[in-house]
Amino acid sequence: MSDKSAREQLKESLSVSLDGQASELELRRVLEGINNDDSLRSLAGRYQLIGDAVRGKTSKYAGVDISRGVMAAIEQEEAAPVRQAQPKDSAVAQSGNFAQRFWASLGKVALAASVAAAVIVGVRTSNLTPEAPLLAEHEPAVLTQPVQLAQTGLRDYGVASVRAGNNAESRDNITPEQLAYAQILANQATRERFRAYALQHAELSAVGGAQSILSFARLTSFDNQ
Amino acid sequence: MQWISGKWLVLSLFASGALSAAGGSDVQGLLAKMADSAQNLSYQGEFVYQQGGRLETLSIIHQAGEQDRPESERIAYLDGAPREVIRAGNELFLSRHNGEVAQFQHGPLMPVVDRFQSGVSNDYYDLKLVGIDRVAGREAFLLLVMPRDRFRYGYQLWLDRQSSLLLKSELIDNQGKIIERLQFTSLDVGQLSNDTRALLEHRPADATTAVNSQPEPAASQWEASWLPEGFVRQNRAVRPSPVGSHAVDSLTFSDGIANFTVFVEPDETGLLSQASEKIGALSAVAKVYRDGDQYFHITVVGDIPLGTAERVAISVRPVQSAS
Repeated sequence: MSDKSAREQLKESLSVSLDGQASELELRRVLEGINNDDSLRSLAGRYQLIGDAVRGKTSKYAGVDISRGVMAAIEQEEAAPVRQAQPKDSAVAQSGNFAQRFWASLGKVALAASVAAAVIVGVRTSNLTPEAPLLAEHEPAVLTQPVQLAQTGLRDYGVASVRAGNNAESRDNITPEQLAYAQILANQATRERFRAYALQHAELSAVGGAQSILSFARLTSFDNQ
Repeated sequence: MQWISGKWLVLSLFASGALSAAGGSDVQGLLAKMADSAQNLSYQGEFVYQQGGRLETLSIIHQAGEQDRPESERIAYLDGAPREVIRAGNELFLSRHNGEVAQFQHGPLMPVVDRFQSGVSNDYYDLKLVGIDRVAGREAFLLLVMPRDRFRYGYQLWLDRQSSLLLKSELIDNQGKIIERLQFTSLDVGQLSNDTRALLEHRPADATTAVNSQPEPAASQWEASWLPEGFVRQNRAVRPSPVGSHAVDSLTFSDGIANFTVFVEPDETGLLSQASEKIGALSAVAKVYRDGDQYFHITVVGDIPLGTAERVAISVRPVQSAS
C-alpha cells in the first residue's frame, strides 16, 4: 500500500513538474521515478501532450518527452562500448585506476544531474518574464524537454566528464553540490553562446541598419558581466 | 502626453509652424532620413550609453563611402579597458582588452527581402513629432515611436535638426520604464580631418578569431513560423559556430527599428539546456529543437521584449517544403 501511495504521489508531482511548478527536490524525485517506471514514463509524455494541447499549441516540441531523453541517456551509458581513447584522455587512463574511477563516477553523476539541471533551468527562467502572463494564453510558457547527453563532444562544458562515464554503478545519488555543478555547466554553455551570438547579432544588424551605434554600445552590457 | 515636459513645450514655440501639424508620415520621413544620414554622412562625436546602473562613454568616427573606399566606422570604448570596433565595407574587427581580436566578414549581401518596404511603419508604431529640444549643443527634433502591440519596445528619439542624425535615444518598455539611454555629448558633421581618417585605416595586427560567412549559402533550412507583424527578414548568414565546429544558420529580422537574430546550431556538446536572459536592452532565449536523433540549439537575440523572443524561438522549425 505504501508503495502505491508513493506512486500516486509521484504522479501528482509529475503533473506539477510538467506545469513548471515543481520544486527542485520534487523534480529530482520525479526524474528518478520516471527512470524506474514504464507506466510513469508514458504518463509523463501524455501529461505533456495534454498540457500542450490545453495551451492550444502542438508543435514539434510537443512530441518531445523528458523520459525518453533520460532513458536514452541512461541506456547509452549502460550499453556504451569502450570509447576510443583520444590523445588527451589516454594520458588520464595511464595515470591509473583512481583517475578512471573518478571520471567514471563523476560522469554518471553529471549525466543524471544535467538532466535535472536543464529542466530546472527551463522552469526557473520562464517565470521571470513580465510578458509571461500575457503569453500564457497563446503559447506554452514552459516547455519541458529532453536532455540527452551525447557520447562524444568536442567542447568541454563538462562533457569530458560526462562522456567518460562508462562503468560506474551509481547514478541515483546526486548530491546538491553535483546538481549545482551541473547547473553551472549548463548555464555556462548557454551564456557563452548568448555572448557570442550577441556580438554576431550586432554585426548582422549593423550591415543594413542605421542603428549600428546602438548595436555596438549594447555589447558593453555583456562585457561587464 | 506625459512625455512632453514644460521645457519642450516652451521650445516648441520656436519651432516652425509646420512642426505643430507633424504626424505619422512626416515622422516616417524623418526616420528614413536618419537611416540614410547614418550611412551616407561623415561625422565624429562622443556619446554616453547608460543601461541599468552603468554609464559608458564611447566615441564614434564615421566615414561615408566614397568611390575608392567603402563606408567605414570606428567605435571605441573610452571607459575601462580599451576596446574598439572597426567596420569597413564587409569587414568588421572587434578588439578586446585581453588582446583578443575577432574578425568578421560577410559575403555579398544576401538578397534582402523587402528591406526598404519595411521602414518604420505607422501600422506597428504610433509615430509622433512632439517637440524640439537641444542635445549636445544642437537643435533636435524629438520623436515618439510607441509600439501598438506588446511585441516591441518604444523609443524616444532625438534627431539632429540639421542632419537628421540620431543624437539621443531612449528605449522604453511596456511599463513606460526607460531601459537604456544613448546620448551624444558632442557631434561634428562633415569632412573628417586626415588624422581622424587615419584612425579608420588602423587594423588590429592579428585576428585571433576569424569568422567568415559562407559566400553563397544555400537557401535556409530554417524559418520562424511566427513573427511579430511587421518584421521582415533583413539578412542571412551561415558561419562557423562560435562554440562548436558546425555551421550556424542565422536569420536577422527587422521591423525598421528593432532587430533580432535567430541562430540555429546543430548540437554537439550533448549538454542541452533552455534558458533566457535579459541583458539591458537585449533579450536572449535558448531553446532546443529535436528532429529525430538530432538536436538543435535555437537561440534568439535582439532588442525585443523577452516574451517576443520566447515566442519566436519556439516557432523556429525547418522550412516546410513549398506547397
